[in-house]
Amino acid sequence: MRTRTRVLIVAVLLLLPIVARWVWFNRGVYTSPSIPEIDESQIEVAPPEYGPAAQESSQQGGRVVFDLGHNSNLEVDDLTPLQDRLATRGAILETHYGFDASLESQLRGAVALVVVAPSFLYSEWEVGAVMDFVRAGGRVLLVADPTRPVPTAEDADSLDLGDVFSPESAIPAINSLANPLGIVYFDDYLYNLVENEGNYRNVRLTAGDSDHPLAEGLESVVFFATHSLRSDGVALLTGDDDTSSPLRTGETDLAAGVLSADGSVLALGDLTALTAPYHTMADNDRLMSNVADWLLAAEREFDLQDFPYLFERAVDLVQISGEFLDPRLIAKSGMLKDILALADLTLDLRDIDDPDHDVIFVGTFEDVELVQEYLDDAGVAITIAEAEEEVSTPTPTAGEEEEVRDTIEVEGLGSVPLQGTTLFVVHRSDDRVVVISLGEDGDAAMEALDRLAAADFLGCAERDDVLICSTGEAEEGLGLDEEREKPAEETPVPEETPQAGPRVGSVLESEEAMTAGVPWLVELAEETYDETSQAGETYTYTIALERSQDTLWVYGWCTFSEELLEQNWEHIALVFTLDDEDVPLSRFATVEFDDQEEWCRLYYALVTDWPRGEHELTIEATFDTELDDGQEIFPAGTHYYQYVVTVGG
Amino acid sequence: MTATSPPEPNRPYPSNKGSGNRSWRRLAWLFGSNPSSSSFARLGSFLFWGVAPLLIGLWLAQNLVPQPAVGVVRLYGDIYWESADFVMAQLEEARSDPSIKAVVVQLDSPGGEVAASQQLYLELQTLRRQMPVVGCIESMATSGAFYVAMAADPVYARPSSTVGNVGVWGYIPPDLGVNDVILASGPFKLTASNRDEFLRSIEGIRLEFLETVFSQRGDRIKLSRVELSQGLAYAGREAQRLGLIDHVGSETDALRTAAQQAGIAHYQVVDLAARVIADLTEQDQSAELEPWVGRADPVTGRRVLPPGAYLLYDMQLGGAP
Repeated sequence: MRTRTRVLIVAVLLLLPIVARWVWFNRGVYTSPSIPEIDESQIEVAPPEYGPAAQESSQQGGRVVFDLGHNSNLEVDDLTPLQDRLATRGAILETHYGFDASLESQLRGAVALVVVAPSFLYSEWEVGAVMDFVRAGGRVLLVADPTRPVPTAEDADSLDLGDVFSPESAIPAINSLANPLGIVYFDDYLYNLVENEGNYRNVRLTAGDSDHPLAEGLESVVFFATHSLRSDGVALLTGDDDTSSPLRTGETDLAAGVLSADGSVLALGDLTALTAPYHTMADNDRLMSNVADWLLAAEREFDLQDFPYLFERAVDLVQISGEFLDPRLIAKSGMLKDILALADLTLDLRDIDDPDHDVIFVGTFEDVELVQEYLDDAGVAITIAEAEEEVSTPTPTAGEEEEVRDTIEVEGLGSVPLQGTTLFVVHRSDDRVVVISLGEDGDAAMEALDRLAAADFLGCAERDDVLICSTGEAEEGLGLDEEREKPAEETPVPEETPQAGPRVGSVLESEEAMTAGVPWLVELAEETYDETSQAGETYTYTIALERSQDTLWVYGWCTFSEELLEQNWEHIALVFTLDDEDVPLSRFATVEFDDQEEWCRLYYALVTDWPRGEHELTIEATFDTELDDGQEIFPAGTHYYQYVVTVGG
Repeated sequence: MTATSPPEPNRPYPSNKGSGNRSWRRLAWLFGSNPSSSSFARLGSFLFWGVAPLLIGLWLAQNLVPQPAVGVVRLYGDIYWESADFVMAQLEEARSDPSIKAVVVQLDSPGGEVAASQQLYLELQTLRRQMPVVGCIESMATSGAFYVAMAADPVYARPSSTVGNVGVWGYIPPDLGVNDVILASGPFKLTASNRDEFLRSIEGIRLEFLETVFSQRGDRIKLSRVELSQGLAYAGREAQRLGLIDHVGSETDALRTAAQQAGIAHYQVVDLAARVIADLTEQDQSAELEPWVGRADPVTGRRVLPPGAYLLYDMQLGGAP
């Protein structure tokens, strides 16, 4: 008993600290909670469904210009589906690259213009050309995309997230053209967290105006990141109430596809939906077919400025004056053939026109019997004083009782003297197009043909299908009547005297041309020189232009420090001449920049509207002292740059 | 009285001694000392039978019942394979140490790679079946770090901690096409994905993230799936109101809650990250101690997070983006 008790007490004493310690530290036992499992049925992602629409194309034809001249942010095959749609409808596809022809000249023969993801601003005259194109019935498709910002220089070895997440927006570029056409692109994107195509930014859109041909057959279109747009016209594609824009918070009925108020411009906020394979999702393919149909359904009116595209069939060139065929016309016909070939048309020189052909009548004012009915229809009366008879009198003249002079009178324009004047009349009917080109004599008639071939009607007076142009050879004091001798603004003859040489653009135009990447004359020249600044030297550049195009006339000087640039330019004098006429330095835009440790200053001017023929531009650069650019010494003296530009062969 | 009566009742107790003396005598009797023995012998007997067991008991208690601990697991910086491995090592340390009865996960991370985040989430869930796991957000737990936080319950944050940013992003795989140098067995062999599959993958991860949040937060969450899908990050106070976290509180609060859940008191706090670092240092003196405390992959230098989260993270660290 005594031993048992002892053992018991020992045990108690042994366990007591253990128990006490356990009790001291522990207040309970952890029971594992029931950890909820996720509902796997909620994590099923439906695969995308592709379903290309059946091709239901009809041969519509027409020339479509794709503008790639504004640094479009495109992948190689982005345009393939749309171009395929257009091609299957018989469209002729052209691309404007911006350096071989102006946008205005390429739009001459087009029924539609497609502008996709540009990143360069449109210049004033480009916008003007597009607006003229739209007024003439052309249709425009504008496409921008929030995933297509201004492209940056690609570096395959590294991906700069700064560029990815904070790119330079291309919205100003598309808006520089869209805004004048009545459409606004917002620098945003649409998203929908409730109903979308696999991702919040892949939004489903429905046709806002189901009666519009563009909306035909469309139930749901998917855009893969799209800008929102606004116009005064039809909101063609809109999102539902859950479609939002991070920029336009609180707004509903956001549109990603709109038409301009006049219905001639379609703007879409997403390019991806038109690219493969995304054009086959939902009704995207149908939309693209509708767009192709719509573009080619343009009722474009072609006029003389669109030469040679105003013709629709084979063309006859017919001399209407004189007893014998003017041999110069044979040469001209060759030139015109080449130009008409641009429109896939042929030309034949004939003595009598084929009634199934379109025709160009060329002649002098003295013998217009063959085309009298067309002149009458156009409201043109030609009066030859020597003959003392009125060849055509569709309208009474104000000066019947006064001295009769050689004049052309056009309804709505008034009278102009024949001398120094060329006349163009267009007559259209369902089965042919007739163009009449008249001058006061054979030389003038040939010049008129040149003007027609170049579609150069700058400074001409226009009324409907009649154009009167001045050759600049009118004698002083030779007015039509006393009224016509009043100040120039009252005369129907254009204020601007036709120029013999090309036009030097304004400083603003020059700056825009530089931004737009218009080529420099030296870039178009056959010659290149390693050294171009040695006193006494003349550096000649020979440039051949097929037709008029925008060019930049540039002189620049660079040094290897900013201070030297300032110092050097204090000793440089420049003289510019264009066809022997001085062009003041004030007409030139200027820019300074540093490029890879070189500091440069450029003087440059846009030279455009080149008439056919040869032109000479010179730059005389005089260093009044020896110049040190930081690496090399250039002797004092004068050196010359001579640009010999031949336009139209 | 009977039980404590001496075996020789005929011997009167000395009445002239105090009660202490009586106790001494009783103890001496209990431990077998003859009252007639010498005081030294009685003392020896007392030490042997009384004090020694008690001391042994105290020693055993110290060893058999260690002071419980709450382990602190630290997840700082980007989540990617290396930082995830570091956290895994801390969790292993928590599992292998019997004194650790609960874990507080300290989060200060803008998130990171999906697989690494999911790995940590699943590991913490497994650990939670053994011991409480409480979350404690310091400056930030966004994206993948918030995903990790969903394995903890409850979750604490500071009033202005950055919380949420639910979602995922990734680089769209390139279309490599075909060439005359490499011949692959399938069109997507080289990229293992294409734009459509990538989009589906992103959407699947988004849905997984959403379901994880909704399954773990249950009725506590006040946001809809659509609202949560926006990917917004919220301040701690707002996150608590929306049910993304449970409490606005300190690390001490989190430790206390973890201890309460584990049913322990008078606990110690063990910094598991420091312990892992010490172990690493012991193994290899030249070991890189803090390769994970970066905002970019230390090997490639490539940042794996969107600039928005980086910016926030960098600003909170006071460094330049």
